Amino acid sequence: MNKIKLSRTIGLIDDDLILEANNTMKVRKTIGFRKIAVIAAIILLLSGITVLAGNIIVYYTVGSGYMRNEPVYDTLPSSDTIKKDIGLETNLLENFSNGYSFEAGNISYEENFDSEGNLIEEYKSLICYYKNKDNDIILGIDGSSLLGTNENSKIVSTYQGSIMHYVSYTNKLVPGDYQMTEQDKIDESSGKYVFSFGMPEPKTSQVQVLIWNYKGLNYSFTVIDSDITEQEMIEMAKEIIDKQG
Amino acid sequence: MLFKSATISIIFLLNRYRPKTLKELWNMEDEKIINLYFERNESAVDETALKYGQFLKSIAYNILGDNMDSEECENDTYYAAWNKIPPEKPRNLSAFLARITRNTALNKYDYYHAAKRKNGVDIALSELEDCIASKDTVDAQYEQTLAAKHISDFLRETNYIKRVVFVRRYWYLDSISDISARYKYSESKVKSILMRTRNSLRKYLERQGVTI
Repeated sequence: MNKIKLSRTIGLIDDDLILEANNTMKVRKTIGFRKIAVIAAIILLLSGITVLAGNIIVYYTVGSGYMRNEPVYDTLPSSDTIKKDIGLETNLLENFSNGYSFEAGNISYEENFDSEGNLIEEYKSLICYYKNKDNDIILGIDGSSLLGTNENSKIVSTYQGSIMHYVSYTNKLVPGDYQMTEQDKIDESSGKYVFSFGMPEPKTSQVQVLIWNYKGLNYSFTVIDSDITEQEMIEMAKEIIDKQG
Repeated sequence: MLFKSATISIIFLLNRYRPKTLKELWNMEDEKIINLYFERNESAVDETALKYGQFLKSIAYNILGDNMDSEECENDTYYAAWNKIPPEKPRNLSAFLARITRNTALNKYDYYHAAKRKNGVDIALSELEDCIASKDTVDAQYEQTLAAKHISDFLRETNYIKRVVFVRRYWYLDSISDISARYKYSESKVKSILMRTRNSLRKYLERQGVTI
């Protein structure tokens, strides 16, 4: 058949499919920094104009994820909705006692690979954004078999049998074509810096992550350039654990 | 234009991520732009170009492979948008514009390539020919729309990565190497994903009795 007609037929597929393919990108990340890399992706994806301008690729070494540009949930999703959409059994909090409130939620599609690049698992995770005045905190929940801690994280608390791990690091956001120097590679392997590629201009951010597992699900809190303390994050994690009943 | 886009992105970053605000901003910008068209305010075109210019040009470039032609398509898109809005009020401005650009570029492509030269677009479309039965005599808009609906339904039931790779290849007409770079898969993996998706689509369309 006429190829142009064929292409025009494909051209009539629904808007959401067209936008989905344009608003997503792949994120590769080390297992130890799974959540961290997702956050870098969030920042990049939500600077939507940059994404539309193209050439945005963020990658780490193992594992990958996809996320839609616009939030999926504008209001707090119920446990049933989360179960239906993502397959996770969890209860979310609308508000935390320190003033953070639910703002939006997204679904991330993730894959983990072994060191030889073989796919070992695929799963969806829930990413929720909470806000308190000018501060944001991002809650991630997934059922992956990998928790996402690494040698730089430290155990900071244990609550209801759940061990909480905390890591703080500097995130260097650099242009997609940035060539890493030998020093960059040393800094990356030492855990001093985590590099994220695809930014139009370089930027450095301070990231804090708290990770724990409760009743078979991995939870994480991530903040970027925030004044929130490690202890506040722990207290918020405890509230989530209490909410699970 | 690019500088301004980059600057806006950096401002977003410096302000940190505020999802609702950002979403609202994104949608509000579109609404604001559409309102400018309705007011017949010529800055509507400037605002559209600022926000979507690079995106639209990249769609045209994928089809035509030429900067000047792509810019021409981009400008034709603004002209068409100016003429269509109002009365049309797009639900999604980016998809609305992208469709115009794609169709404009395909028209241009059709005109230029009547001489049967094979390029990347030909190759991409040839891959799909086996999926959809040929019926040159029946090319009614209705059947085309129906087929597109079935393809949309099929894609929705398909694995996420297969879906986005398929749409990148056959809607945006990205090259295999571009898709490989975008999703960090090897080219052979991309080809394999596409082949399996096409095979599934062919079977799906046969079950639906779709011919175009």
